[in-house]
Amino acid sequence: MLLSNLKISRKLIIAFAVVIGILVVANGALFLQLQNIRSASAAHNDAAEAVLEVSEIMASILEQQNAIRAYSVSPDARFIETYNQNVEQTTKRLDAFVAHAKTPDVRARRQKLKAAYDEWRANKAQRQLDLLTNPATHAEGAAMTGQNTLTEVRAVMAEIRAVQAKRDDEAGLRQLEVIGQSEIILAVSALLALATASAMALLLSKTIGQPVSEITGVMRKLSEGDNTVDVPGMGRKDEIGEMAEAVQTFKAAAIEKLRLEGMTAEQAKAAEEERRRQEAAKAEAARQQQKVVEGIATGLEKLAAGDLLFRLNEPFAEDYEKLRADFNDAMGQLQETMKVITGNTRGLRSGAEEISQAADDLSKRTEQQAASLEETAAALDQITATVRKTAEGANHARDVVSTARADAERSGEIVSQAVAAMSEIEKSAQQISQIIGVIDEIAFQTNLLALNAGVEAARAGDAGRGFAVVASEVRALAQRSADAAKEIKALISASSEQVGQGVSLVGQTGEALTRIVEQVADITTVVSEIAASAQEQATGLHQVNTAVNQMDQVTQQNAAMVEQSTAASHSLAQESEELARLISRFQVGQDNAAASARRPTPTARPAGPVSRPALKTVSTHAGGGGAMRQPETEPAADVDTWEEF
Amino acid sequence: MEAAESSPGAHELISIRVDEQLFALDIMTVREIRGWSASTPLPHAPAYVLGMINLRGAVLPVLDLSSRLGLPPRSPDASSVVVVAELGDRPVGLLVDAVCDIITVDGAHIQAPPELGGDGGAEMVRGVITLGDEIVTLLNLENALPAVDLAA
Repeated sequence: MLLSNLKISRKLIIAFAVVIGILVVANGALFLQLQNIRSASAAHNDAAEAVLEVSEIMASILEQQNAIRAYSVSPDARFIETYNQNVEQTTKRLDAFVAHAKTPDVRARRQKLKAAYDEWRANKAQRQLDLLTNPATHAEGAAMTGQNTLTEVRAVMAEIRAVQAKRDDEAGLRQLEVIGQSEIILAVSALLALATASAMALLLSKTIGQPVSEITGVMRKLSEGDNTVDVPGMGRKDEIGEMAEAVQTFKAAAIEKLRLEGMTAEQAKAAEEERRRQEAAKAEAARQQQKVVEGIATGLEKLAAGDLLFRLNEPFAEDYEKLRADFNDAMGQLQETMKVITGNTRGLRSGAEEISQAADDLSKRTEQQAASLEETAAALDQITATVRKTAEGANHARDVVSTARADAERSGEIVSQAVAAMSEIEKSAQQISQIIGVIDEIAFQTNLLALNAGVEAARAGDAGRGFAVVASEVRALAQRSADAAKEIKALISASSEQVGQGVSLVGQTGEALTRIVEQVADITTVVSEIAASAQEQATGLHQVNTAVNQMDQVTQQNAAMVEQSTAASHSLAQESEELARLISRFQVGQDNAAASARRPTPTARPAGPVSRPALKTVSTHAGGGGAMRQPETEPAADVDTWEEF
Repeated sequence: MEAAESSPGAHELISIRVDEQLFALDIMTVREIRGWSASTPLPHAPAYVLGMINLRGAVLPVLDLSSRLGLPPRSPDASSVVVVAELGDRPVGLLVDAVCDIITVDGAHIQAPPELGGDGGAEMVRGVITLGDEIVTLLNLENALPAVDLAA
């Protein structure tokens, strides 16, 4: 069945959805009907309003007619005012009436009414009023009263009233008709909803309620212990099916429980019997066990005392015979093992002593190395300082040499200037020589003149005596001039010679200075190279220094580590001694005597580095790992080479 | 002039130097002393005649005194001097190396030149004067030019 596979919630939703759907359709139909009723009612109202409006307009027009008539009887201005008010009111109402028309034919009728009114008011009412207001034509106006009728207006109004009345009737009929239809729809839909709801209720009670009550009955039976009942609803896929499966599981569990309860009781009985049998056997076994335990206890006591030679020789009960054999085997194995351990311990002890000795030596050498490295570092520092000083000196020398070169170049210029100056001196000397020649010539001529004067004086005889003296004086002066000129000439020639020598010397000096400049340039180059080399040396030495410092640090760390390893090796040696002492407690036969003979040795030795001399002898026996088999000289040689290294 | 030779009293002389040797002339025979100026050669003249010079319009011969005295001939230079002397009434130029001094000598100090036989040279020397360590030869200029020329 399809329904039984749906979930209960789905079933309920479907049932209510059907009922609600029917109600929605019915309500929709009713809503439409109500709309119809409303429109019919609106049409009715419109018709009523139109009739009322027409009546009021008619009343207003009648007021105008009455006012004119009253004015014709007694000409009072208040009537004209009443007329005018009503004209205004009527026009306003008519305009509103026309504007409110909803269909074209209605509008046409209302405009027709308005036209009829306008025609009446213009042609009849206003005209009569005009005549009445003029006293001359008053009588004529009064006579028009009988003609002033509203026949056309009334006709149009009657037409409007008739049409509206007809519409009103139609609307009323339609309203009644629609109300009737609505009642039918309401009744049909109510009946349909009732029927559907009843059908759904029946269906749901059949598909849900009935199975649930069946399952409830089954569960009740199950709880009372009746496991034979069948569970209905199995195979369904809704909640009922799930409940049925759950109840089925309960049923299976109850059946299994009953089965298990039956089994446990049988087992308990069997176990009781077994226990009794076992107790009997246990009493027997306990006796034998006592014996075995005593034997094993004796053996373990011996074992505790370190006697590994003990064996259980008395046979045990058959069950425990294997225990005895195992014990004896264990003792034997233990004895063998202890023998081996004893031997190994001896080897271990000697090895530990060797390590200890080696560690001592290593420690000493590492210290030496550290000291050497420190010295090296100090020496390197000094060398570095020296090289740096050298570099500084070389730089200084380079500066000085540069200065010297500049000076030498300047000196060369000065020498050239000196040569030029000397050339000038030479030229001047030549000029002086020429001048001196002139002076000499003058002296010569003067001398001749003086001689002539002397000759003339001599000829003059006694009269020329005084003149002769003057001539002689002049001659002496000329002679001195000539002599002086001669001396100056000699001096000038000597000076010229010396100036020439000076020029040549200065030229040589200049050449020498040029050579010096060249050599100084060479020296500058060489000194620069020296400075650069010294700088490089300083850099290299700095690197070496860094490396040596690192080596020093590493060596220091090594020294520290060697100290630790020395301490560890000493502790190892001590531990191995202790181990040997402990092992010597075990009696293992043959070698035992040797082990116990060595026993006092470790206790006699002081612990730690103080035992170094004793270790030293061991070390000479040791060598490169072939313990105790090496000849005595060879390890000694090894040690020597190590020391040297 | 013979009388002046032996006569005592002061004699004024001019000492001249020719070829490192000192000679002397009587100052009264000397008319003028002047520097050397180039001379014009005289054709067919004796070897000791250097040529002629123009002395203020008058033409006079110039003799190389060294050559005339039988000494090696001198070539004139800027420092050479020409002594214009009067041989009789004729002026003549004598080329000497230098005029040294005007000396005044007493007649008693003029010695006769050593007699070496009668040759032509002796007639040119009038006497010898010692002046310090040196010997000054006092010349007789009257025989300086050949007598033939005089006669002509």
